[in-house]
Amino acid sequence: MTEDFNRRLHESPEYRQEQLSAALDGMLAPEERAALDAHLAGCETCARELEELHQVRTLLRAMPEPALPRSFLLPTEGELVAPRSAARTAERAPATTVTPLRQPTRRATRTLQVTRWIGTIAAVLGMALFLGTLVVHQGATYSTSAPNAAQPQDGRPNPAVGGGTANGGTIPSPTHTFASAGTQATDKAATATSSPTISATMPAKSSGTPETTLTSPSSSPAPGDILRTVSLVLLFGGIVLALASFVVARRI
Amino acid sequence: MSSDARSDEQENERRLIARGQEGDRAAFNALVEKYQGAAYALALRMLGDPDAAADVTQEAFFSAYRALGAFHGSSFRAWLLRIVSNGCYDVFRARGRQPVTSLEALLEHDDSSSSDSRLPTTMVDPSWNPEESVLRVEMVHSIESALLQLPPEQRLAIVLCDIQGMAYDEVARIMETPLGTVKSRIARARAQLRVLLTRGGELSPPTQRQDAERST
Repeated sequence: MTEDFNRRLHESPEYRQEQLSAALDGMLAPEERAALDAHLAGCETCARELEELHQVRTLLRAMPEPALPRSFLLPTEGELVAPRSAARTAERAPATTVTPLRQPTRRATRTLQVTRWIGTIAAVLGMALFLGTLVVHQGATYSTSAPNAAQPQDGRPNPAVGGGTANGGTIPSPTHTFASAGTQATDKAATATSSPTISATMPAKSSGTPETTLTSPSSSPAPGDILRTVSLVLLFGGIVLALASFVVARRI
Repeated sequence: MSSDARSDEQENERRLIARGQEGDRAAFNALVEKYQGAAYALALRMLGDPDAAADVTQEAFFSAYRALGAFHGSSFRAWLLRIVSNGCYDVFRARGRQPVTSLEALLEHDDSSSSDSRLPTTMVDPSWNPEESVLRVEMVHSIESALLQLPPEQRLAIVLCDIQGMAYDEVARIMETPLGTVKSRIARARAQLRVLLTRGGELSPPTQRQDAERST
């Protein structure tokens, strides 16, 4: 067993350092201390290492306390306002730091947050508008199956069925419309842009069979058309803004 | 210090803490006066930068005062030094990665007008007489810069143990790590310092060792 102990002392610097260091501080169990002493009696290298570790400890213990740069007494009156040590120290980090200081300024973070919010809201609005215009388009299809009470006199689709108003811009409340509009949106999206005039003219038409309304000839660009474009711009622009703010925030 | 005097001092300290907990700032300031030297010394040895160390020390005392209600332990000093070391770790995080030899870098890169204030020799307490010590003034500088070359956990362990004079179990409580980890960090720190200081010539060769140093 002593053989293993002696071998381990020489083969493992970490083990040796721990044994010697613990011995210095009297942290070895009696039998461990005895084994170490037996080893040291016959090993010059380890004995010298122990001696030098002892010197290191003596030097450290002799270190004088640095002079205080100022008093740290608390002010006896008023609020305690602590210095922002982390931020201030970060600014003063010496030029030789390996990684440059990357603490973002408050203004940069603020701007990013604002951009992110604007982007998100724009995207949501844009999405809603876009779906709204689609729903107005879809609302016509649904109202065919609805009873005659579904079709209001001014030709606007019943909000209960199709949702939306003349300008095609509000968010329809019935969720089922959303779902169907959503699934149809991907199919219709391609066609929607190519036939904007169909749904654009929808709200403006008076009551009649929705089919005829759908296939009615196009007129000059209606509000719905512009709205769709606007909504798409909002949607994609908002997404881009929000994503950009995340990317920039990562970089900082 | 006799055990009577020590227990009197402890009792006195407990009273100060109690009054501090009730909002008596003057009582708390008595504690500040007692421990600010140790607190600042720890921060300075950890950070290498006097300004950063001063900020951390001030903030540590503010935090300690505010959190005094949560102090239930027996050692106010250990509790305070833990706050200081946490403050130092915050600085390390803010810096991104702590510089290897910031003290030497400061000395090399500062212009003459400010370099004097950063020399460790002028930071030494005026009551310290180098002639009565085993340490010469240049050695203080070497040891401080050697300490800054250690990884933070080893540096903290060795400063608390050998410079602040805390026992292993106290160090373990301050660092919130197991005793075994503390033992290994102290051992590794001493071994590394032995290498660094031998290179720098601070460790005297065996023939010049004083007999006094032999006593364990």
